[in-house]
Amino acid sequence: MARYMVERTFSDCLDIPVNGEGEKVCLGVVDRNAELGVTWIHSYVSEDKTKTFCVYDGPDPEAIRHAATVNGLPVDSITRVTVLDPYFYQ
Amino acid sequence: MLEATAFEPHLNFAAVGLVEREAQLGALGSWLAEAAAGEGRLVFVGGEAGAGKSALVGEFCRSLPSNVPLYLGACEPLSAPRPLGPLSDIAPSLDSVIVERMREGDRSGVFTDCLAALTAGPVPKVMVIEDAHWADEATLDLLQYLSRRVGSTGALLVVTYRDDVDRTEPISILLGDLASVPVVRRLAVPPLSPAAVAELTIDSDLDPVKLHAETNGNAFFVTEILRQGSHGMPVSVADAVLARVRRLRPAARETIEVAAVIGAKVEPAIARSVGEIGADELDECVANGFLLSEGPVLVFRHELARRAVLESIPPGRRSQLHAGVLRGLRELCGEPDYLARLAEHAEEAGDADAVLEFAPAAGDSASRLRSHREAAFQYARALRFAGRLSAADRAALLAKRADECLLLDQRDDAISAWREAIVLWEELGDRVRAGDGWRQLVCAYWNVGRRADSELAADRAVEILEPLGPSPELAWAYAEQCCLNMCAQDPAALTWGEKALALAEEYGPPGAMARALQSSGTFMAINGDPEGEEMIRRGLDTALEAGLDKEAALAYNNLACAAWARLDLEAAAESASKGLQFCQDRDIHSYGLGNQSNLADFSFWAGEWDRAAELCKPVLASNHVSRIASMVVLARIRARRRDPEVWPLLDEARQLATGVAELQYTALVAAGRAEAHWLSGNSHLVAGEVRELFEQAMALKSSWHIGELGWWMWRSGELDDPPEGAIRPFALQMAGDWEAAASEWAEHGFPYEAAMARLDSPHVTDLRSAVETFDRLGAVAARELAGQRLRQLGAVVPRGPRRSTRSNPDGLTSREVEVLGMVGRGLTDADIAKVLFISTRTVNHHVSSILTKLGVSSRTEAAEAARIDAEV
Repeated sequence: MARYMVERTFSDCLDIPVNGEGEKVCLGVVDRNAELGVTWIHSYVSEDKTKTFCVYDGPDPEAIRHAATVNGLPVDSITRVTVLDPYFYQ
Repeated sequence: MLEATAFEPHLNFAAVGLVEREAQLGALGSWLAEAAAGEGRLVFVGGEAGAGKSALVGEFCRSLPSNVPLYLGACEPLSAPRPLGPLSDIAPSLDSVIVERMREGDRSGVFTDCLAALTAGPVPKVMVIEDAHWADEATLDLLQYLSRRVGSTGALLVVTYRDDVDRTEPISILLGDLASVPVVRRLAVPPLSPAAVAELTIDSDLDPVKLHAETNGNAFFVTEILRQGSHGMPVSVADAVLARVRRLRPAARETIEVAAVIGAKVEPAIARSVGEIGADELDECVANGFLLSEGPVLVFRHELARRAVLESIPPGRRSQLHAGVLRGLRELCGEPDYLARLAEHAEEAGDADAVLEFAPAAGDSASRLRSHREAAFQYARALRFAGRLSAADRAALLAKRADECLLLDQRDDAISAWREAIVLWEELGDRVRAGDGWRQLVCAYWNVGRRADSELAADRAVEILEPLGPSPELAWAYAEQCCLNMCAQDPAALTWGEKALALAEEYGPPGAMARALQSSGTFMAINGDPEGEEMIRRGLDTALEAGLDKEAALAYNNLACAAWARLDLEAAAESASKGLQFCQDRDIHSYGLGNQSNLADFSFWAGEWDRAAELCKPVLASNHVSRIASMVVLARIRARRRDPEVWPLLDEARQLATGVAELQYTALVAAGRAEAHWLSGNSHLVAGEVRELFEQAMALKSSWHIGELGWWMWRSGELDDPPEGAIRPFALQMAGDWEAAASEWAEHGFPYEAAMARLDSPHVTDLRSAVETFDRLGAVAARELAGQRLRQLGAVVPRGPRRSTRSNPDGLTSREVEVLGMVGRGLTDADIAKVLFISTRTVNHHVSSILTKLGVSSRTEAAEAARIDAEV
């Protein structure tokens, strides 16, 4: 399983309410991803809520794209990444 | 002879109530109601070993009204289970004609009659197949077959399986394949919660928190401990089971061991024949909850319990018990149904004679029903004991195993089996068989990308067979030479082809005839001779008439190549689709890989990248030579989208292509690498990738490769004018006529290439149109280049593509959504074809793909679905 950073731009601002509704939206994404073998780890959202940087585990870039299509999410770019830990060398 | 087993729902876990399964029972109930309304369902019930899948399904079956027909079958935990095992449990009560078909080895008859029996009569019906993680290959194929058809019946199919098995296990692969089939449902049986464990322990003095922690909520483990009472907490399921076994009387303890050796299903008569076992001992095992009575047989309450008992028996005694069971089985039953079990006990008992008696027969029986995995296993099992067989018999067994391995895509195993057989035949002085063995290796080597070995094998076959005079085997050897030379685009193909045809006409192996016709025809077609295609068609007809699936699959492949040579993308895709469908209908997936890889390639050029990538994946998972082409296609799609993981594919592809050393692969890889360099801004590396292969393409007069590689040379400034023999659209581009090139590419259905040609235009409108195409295709990299060109011309670069606002949960491609919209507006295929500038045939393909994905059977229903979609 590889790890990917997926960058997305939302022209209409991303707006996921912090309530049951928001939970439903997020868990819906999680369920649909699971069928494709894709796991959404977490995301960083820009302050103006127009860009997200999402960390995913998945079998390949196509699965990441497929998951985005199924969830109706845009994709700017997909980058394969590994973790760099500043304290690793201590 | 044993009686046929009458199957009744086994009502496990009756002693311990079913807890925390209301939601699952509710779901099964609602799917049953849907089946009753004529919308059949295939439900996969998954959970870890001991989660309580059988208990759940047993409870569901018990709750069924008595007028609902119920059919129960189970897969057995054998290393090579009998083919269609669960269906043999079900067939006698479902329809006796299926039993006949199974005896005859008529697999397609079995499948169609099974569907017919599920379709006919009252609705709903319930069919249960337990433990599909042990299923043989033919049973999994049956499930796949039914999954596509059960939707229009009134049947509810319930299949239990362990979901803690590896992702590469056949059951996991099947579930992956069926993920998008609309009638398939998944039902999870999770471990019990602490609350549920507490509920179960109400009447005992066990600590529920500790019990839950020790068992992780595993239902079987929990109930085993509850049965044991307060005798300390065992650390594993096996310990829990064995602790209870130790409390049985010695005679009953021996009985449970014998039962564990017999298997998941225990025939009392066989148990009695093995030892001093009477009704009392068996009753004690039943009373203590180890065994359950199921019609005339006894079954273990759970496979976990059987495993625990089996593994506690010392090896020497275990093998003695297997010998006893073997004796009992042999005396008490002779049905072919028992071959797989006989072979297993024979091996476990170390009885070589019995292995050689039963394993090859079990292999033949599996092979007839196309349970190739089981057949290959049984032949391998026999070969482990083949020391005492004559060399001729051993060679024959090896040849059978090689055939099964080829069908399983285990080509390396097939090759070593052939090699071993050839050595034996050569020692025996059987030159015809040895020569024919070498001939079989030609294809096997080529298919794994070992061209040099393939050439040696072809030469060796001719060398051995030619001095023996004309023969069908020699006709085949010539036909393989013809094919091999065709692949290298060597004109010697035609000479070999003539020799093969002359012999084949006289000695008549239709396979050699078909192969020679299609190989010669392909050579002619790719060199521009219009008669070539006609020859391939004759080859196809010959193959179809003689029922030669492999040759027919190959002929569809070659027809696609011929169409591609004249840039008829649509006809090429149609031949490849037909070939793929042909192989899927016959479950010969391994022969379909070439067609699948071709179709991926054509979809790539047609701009259908999602589909192309999806088609590539199964080819990449194989070790077939077509993998090279699919790697390049996937890498090019990724490079065009700016997605990662481009170079690992291209590097491996180059390595494999070097082994094959045919221009059709090496040039393909070079073009892919050139494009990937160019799109990532390394245009200085482009020429180095293609220079040498461009020269080779010129020497072989291969017009597509001269065109494509020449174009990269031209882009790198190494060519000024179009080289002779370059395919037209590329030649036009190199001649500076980008406009004509763009329109020819568009006419042939290559949208990306048309847009690339427009990049050479000095006009802003052409560049904008290229940008639009790149946006539609998701060609991020080329779009950036177009943007740069626009900025150079001082023009405004259009904004990026708008995100699709609606998701498409049915998994339709954007083209399919477009077509569905038109279907919804009542347009005919012909109307749609006109609007989209594509052929009616292609529209037809899109419509049938839409129907499959939406799980509907008519355009009207699809139109209805489109309306609902539009309203949401």
